[in-house]
Amino acid sequence: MPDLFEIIFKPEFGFTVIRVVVPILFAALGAYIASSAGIGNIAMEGTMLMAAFVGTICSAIFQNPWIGLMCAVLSGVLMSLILTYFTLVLKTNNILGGIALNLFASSFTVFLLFIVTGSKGTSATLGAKTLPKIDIPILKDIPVLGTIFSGHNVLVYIMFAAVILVYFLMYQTPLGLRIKAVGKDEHAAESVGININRIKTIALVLSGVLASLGGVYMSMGYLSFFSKNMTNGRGFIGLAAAAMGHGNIWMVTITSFLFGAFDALANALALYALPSEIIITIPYVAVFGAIVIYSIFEWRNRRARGEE
Amino acid sequence: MLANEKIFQAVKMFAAVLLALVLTFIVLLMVSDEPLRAFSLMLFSPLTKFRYFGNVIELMIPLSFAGLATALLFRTRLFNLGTEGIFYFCGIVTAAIATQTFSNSTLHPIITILISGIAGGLIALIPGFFRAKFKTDELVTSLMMNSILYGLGLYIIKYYLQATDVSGVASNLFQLTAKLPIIIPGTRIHSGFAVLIVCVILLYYMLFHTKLGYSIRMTGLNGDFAKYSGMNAFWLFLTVHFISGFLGGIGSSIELLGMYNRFQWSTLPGLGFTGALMAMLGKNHPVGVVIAAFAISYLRTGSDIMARSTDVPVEIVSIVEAVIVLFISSQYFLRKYHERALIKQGGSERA
Repeated sequence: MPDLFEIIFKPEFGFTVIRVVVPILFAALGAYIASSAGIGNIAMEGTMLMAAFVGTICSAIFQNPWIGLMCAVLSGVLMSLILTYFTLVLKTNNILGGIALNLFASSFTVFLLFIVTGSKGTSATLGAKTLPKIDIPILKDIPVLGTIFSGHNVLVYIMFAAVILVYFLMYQTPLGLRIKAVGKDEHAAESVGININRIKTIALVLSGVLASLGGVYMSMGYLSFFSKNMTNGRGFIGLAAAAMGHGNIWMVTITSFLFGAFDALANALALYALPSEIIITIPYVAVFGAIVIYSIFEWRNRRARGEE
Repeated sequence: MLANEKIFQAVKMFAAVLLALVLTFIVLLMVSDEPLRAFSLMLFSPLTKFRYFGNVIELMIPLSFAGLATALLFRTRLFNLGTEGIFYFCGIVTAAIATQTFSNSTLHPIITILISGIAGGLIALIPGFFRAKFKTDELVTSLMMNSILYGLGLYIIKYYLQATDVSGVASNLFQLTAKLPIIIPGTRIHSGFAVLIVCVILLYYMLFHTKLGYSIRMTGLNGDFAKYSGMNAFWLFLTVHFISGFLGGIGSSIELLGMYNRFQWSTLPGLGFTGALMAMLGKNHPVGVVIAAFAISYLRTGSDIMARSTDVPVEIVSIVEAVIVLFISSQYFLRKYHERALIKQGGSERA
C-alpha cells in the first residue's frame, strides 16, 4: 500500500489537482449560474462533449487553436440555445430536455468523428492543435508555489479568472441580481418588470459558454485529441458541486476542488499495483458520498426548522 | 379536427417524426455520396427480409425493459438514470449464475433472471433510499452509481469470472441450459419477448388499477401529493425504485441469455440510457414505451443495415431520436393550432 501522505503532500499533487479540476470547475460555474436563475442545466455534460469535439476538429481544420476555442464556445452557445428554445418556448421539462441533449451529443459526436476521421474512437490522427501552456514569470521560480501554479494550460488561468468574473457578475452587477431574483421567485421578479425569459436565456447561454470552456480543455489541453465520451461524467460532477455549493460561489469552487482532489488521487494511485477498475471509481464514490452527506445535513436543517 | 386531444397528439407525433426525417435527410445530403439510397435503406430495409424484421423485435426487447424501468421512475417524478449501471452489473450477476452447471433447462434461466432482477432491485434501492429519506438528488447519485457499478463489475469479471478460453473482458460461455429458447423460427426472437408482454400487462394493471399505481400517477402530477394525502412517500419511493431496478435487472438478464453466448460488455452498453428516450417518447405509459421501443428499434435496425453498405455511420440515428424526443416531450409544440381549433369549435357550438 503506498503511503497516502507521501502522495498528497507533494507539490506535484497540487499541480495534478489543478490539472484535473478545470472541466469540473467550469461545469460547476456554469451549473451555478443556470441554477441561480432557477433552471437546472442538465445538458452540461453534452455541451462539454460537443465543445471538446468542435474545438479540436476546428483547430485541425484552421490549424489554429484559438479559432478552435472560438468554435467550441459557439457550439456551447448553440447547445444552450437549443435547450433554451425547448424549455422556455416549447415548455419541455428542462431535465428531460437536458437528458435528450446529452444522449444526442454522445452519439452525434461519434457520428461526426467518423465522418471527419473515419474512426469511431479518437481524433488522434488529425494533427489538431492544443492551447499553449504558460509559465508565469517570477512565480515559476518560487519552489513549491511555482510547481503547483505555473506551467499550466492557458485555460487553467482562464478558469481562475472565470471564478472571479462570475463572482463579480453574480454579486456586483444588476444582471447578477436579476438572475438571482428570477431564480428565487420569478413572479416577484416579473412584477418589478424583469423579463424572465430574457434573464433565463442569458443565464443558460453563460452556462453553455462555461461548459464549452471545460469541454474544450479536455481535447485541447488535458489531452490533445477527442475521444468518444471523453468528458466521462465530469459535467455531472460539476452539477453536483454546484448543487452542494448551495448558491454560494466560493462553496461551489471549494467543492469542485475537493472533487478534483479525489480525481487526482485516483490518478496517483493508478500508478501503484491496486486494481485499476476499483481506483477509477474513487472520484464517483467521493461525489456520491459528499452529496449524500450534504443532503443529510440539509434534511437535519429542515427538521430543525420543523419543515419535516 | 385538431380540437380532439387524441387526434392532436397523433398529428403532433407525425409532425415530429416528419421533421426529424427531413433533418436527417438534409444531413445525409451533406455527408453521403448516395443520400437517397442511404435514406431509403434506413427507412425501408427492415421490411425487406423476415430476418431483418426479426432484428427489430430482438432489439426492441432490451430497449423496452430499459424504457419500462425508467418510465416508472419518471412517472413518479424521480429523474433517476441508474438503469444503465443496473443493466451492466446485473449482466455480471447473470454471467455468474448462467455459467454454473445446472440440470434443469426450464429452471436455470428462470432462476438466473429472477436473481438478476432482485439484484437490480436492491441496487436501485440505494439511490432510492437516500432520495426517499433525505431528498438526495437521485439524478446525481444514480449517475455516479453507474460509473461505480461499471468499475466494480469490471473488477468482478476480471478477477472472478474471466473466461479461460478467450482474452479480453469476457466470462466463460453460458451453459446451454441457461439460454432462452427461440420462439419464432427464422429469427432470433426468444422467449424474453413473452416475458416482456407479461411485464407490460402487469405494469399497466399496476399503474391504472391499483392503489400503488394511483399514488405513483398522482405523485407524478404533483410532487406534494404523497405528503398531503398522508400517504407514506418513503415507502412509495422505495417500492418504485425496487420495481424499476427489478425490471432493469431482468431486462439485462433476458438480453444476455437470449442474444449472447457469454458476457462481453467491456463498456457500459448504453441500453439503460436509451431507456430514458423510450420513457419520454412513450409518455411514461407502459404500452407507449413498447411502441416507442419498436419505433426506435426499427430506425436503429434500418440505420445499422444502411451503415453496412453505405458510407454513413449508424450514429446518424441519434439525430432522428433527439429531434423526435425533444418535440414530443414539449408541451407547446403545435399547441396554438390545437387551441385555435378548440376556440373555433367552442364558437360554433355556441352559435
